[in-house]
Amino acid sequence: MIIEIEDLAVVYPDGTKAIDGISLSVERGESVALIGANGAGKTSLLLALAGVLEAAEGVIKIEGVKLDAKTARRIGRSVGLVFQNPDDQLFMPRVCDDVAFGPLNFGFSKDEAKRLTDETLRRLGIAHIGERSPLKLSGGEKRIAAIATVLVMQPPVMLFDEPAAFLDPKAKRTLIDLMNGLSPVKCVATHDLSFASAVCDRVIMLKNGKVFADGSVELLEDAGLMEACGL
Amino acid sequence: MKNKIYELYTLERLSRDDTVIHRLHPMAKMLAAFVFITVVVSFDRYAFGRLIPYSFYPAVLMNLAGIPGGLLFRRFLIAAPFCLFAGISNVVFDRAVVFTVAGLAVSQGLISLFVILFRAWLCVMAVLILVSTTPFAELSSQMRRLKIPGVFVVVFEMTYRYIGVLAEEVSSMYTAYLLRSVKRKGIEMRHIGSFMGQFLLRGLDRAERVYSAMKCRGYSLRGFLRESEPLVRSDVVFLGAVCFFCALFRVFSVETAAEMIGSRL
Repeated sequence: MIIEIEDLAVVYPDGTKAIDGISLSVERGESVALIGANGAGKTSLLLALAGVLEAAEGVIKIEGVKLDAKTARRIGRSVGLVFQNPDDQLFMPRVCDDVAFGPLNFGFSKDEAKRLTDETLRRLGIAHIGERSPLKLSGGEKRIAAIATVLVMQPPVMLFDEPAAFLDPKAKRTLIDLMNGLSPVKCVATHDLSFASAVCDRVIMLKNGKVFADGSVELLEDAGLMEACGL
Repeated sequence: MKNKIYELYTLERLSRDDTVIHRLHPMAKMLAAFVFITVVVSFDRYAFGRLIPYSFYPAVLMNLAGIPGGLLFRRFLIAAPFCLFAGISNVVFDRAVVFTVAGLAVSQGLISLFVILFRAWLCVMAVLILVSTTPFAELSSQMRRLKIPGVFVVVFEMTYRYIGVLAEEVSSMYTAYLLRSVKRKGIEMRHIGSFMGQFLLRGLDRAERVYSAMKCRGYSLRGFLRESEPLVRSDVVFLGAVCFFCALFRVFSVETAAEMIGSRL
């Protein structure tokens, strides 16, 4: 198991229980779609897995290591989170600086960080925008650049929060091809059911911070289940 | 407005060039700027003539680094009104006449106003030249190396990272406002309070998300020290030359310094 979650609860400072006793596990090689209505707890679950939100109760283990304050930094290298809004993730003057930000923070040498950055940009087909400012990119380019900032650290687990949001059909198709080519375990929080079925092989439905259903992508075709899940 | 935001990072882009000044060690450039600024601010408020030789420092460095003077001057103009307000009271209160030019009395207050403006120009130019010849990450890393308290370095880093993000936030709020306003001529006075309040809340929210994104990619408040090459001979020569230049014109006036150098030659 690469991800193990036991009785996880996440509570916001105002007392809202975003996650309420979730237990699940994800194996290597799996691509999991987290489906649910607004406020179901998808983003909170991703943030908790990335160590951004602290668990009020329960345990998260990544590659067998329990996530806590001491291990958060180490686990941070194993779990990459692509945020819903790429503008939150791209804050440096140039795309290549943004991509190199993670490796430099994790102690890679300047040369190594540059090599990884160039390699990642080339691999994702965006080497031509490396020197450009994120402010000058299209929505699709921003999304791929945001993925590059995470992929560069070669994490075994990648989390995506609404990756298809704001993308036109062509950019979405490009993103689907790109994500299907990625080797890390993928957890994708999305409302876009066609996107989920194109990228994932397992679906976890969330409702009110709890797991409502868990199974293969065929679940997405069950209209009654979808209705009950609030979708 | 988006282009204005883009311009915020012009100096950062200039810092990627490859000239003799860009190749100098960031530590040497930082220390040189520090020495220069310390010496410039150490002069008394009427020493206009003695400050003139110091304009060589920005002139020479800008030339060697290929930095457009107009760009830096426009940046200085942002700070100029503050300096003007700081010095304007001297003109009012310090009215002792020093000399007259074409029947126009030049007071001590007027001289001190010019000194404040000139000194500010020199200091701002020194900092802008440093920033436009040294990548930002190198600057913050060298600040940590100099044992500057982490909290100052973090504030410096965050201000830099968020300034573009916040400007973008203002830009989208402003566009949304204009599209729904009748006159489409800027924000009306009665809406400024709520606009600023919303901006603060949205800014905080956005800052939280950007910080989370940074944290996810290994950023910590303690920061990290990038590996740094040692200072080489050219760095030491540069630093030594700046220190000598600053000390020479601090101790001696232009005439005395020229005489001294002339007699040596």
